[in-house]
Amino acid sequence: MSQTITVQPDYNITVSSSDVLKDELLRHIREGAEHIVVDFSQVKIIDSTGLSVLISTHNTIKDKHPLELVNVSDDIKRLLAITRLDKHFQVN
Amino acid sequence: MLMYNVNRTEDGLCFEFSSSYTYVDKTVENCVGFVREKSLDISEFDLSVTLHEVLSNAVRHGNKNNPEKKVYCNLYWKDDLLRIEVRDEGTGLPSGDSLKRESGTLEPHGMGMSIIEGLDFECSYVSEKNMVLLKKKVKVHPN
Repeated sequence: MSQTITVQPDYNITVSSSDVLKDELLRHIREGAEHIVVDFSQVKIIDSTGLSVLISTHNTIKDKHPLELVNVSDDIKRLLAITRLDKHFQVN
Repeated sequence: MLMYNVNRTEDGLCFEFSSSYTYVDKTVENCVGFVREKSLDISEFDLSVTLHEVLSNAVRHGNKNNPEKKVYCNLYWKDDLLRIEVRDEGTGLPSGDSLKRESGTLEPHGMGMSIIEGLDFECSYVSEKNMVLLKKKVKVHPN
């Protein structure tokens, strides 16, 4: 059974804050998380730096389980479609 | 010393600030406040993301995160055209270099300009001014 971790950032994931999320996700990976869920319910904005953090995380764990994003706003879903990342992440 | 300066003109806002991501956030907030005040029919999400991309790019790639170097941003709205000009104090793009890179790959770099175009901003680089120019047709919100 893989270890599932849910991360719920309560800030917009932009260049000024993405290191906070990156550090948290890396910590969970080091501690053995194989299935990571990012809860976007409090995230209104994400930029390419924030998306880069998600890509790096996904690339690290994708052999076990793709990165899962939940409670994603329509705007952020549109951004994921523009970048075609919705084809890689599991988006709900 | 870090500095942040914003001036209001008849048609918009002019910013000058030290290379700092905190000031990027502040500038985005000010610009969103401007379009809200003018009741412009533009997605605040699209504007915020686009400004984050281009301003962060100026801080990181243009000014190499050097806080002694400044970023200049002008946002104007006139004749139903929103115009955003961003300059930095870096060396500019090499001749022939493109702003746009591939999207859709799982490489964690180079998505910014694809995002801006995907959000329907017209984006160009004015090499003689080392300036990124963004344009979008925007009317006042009908309601």
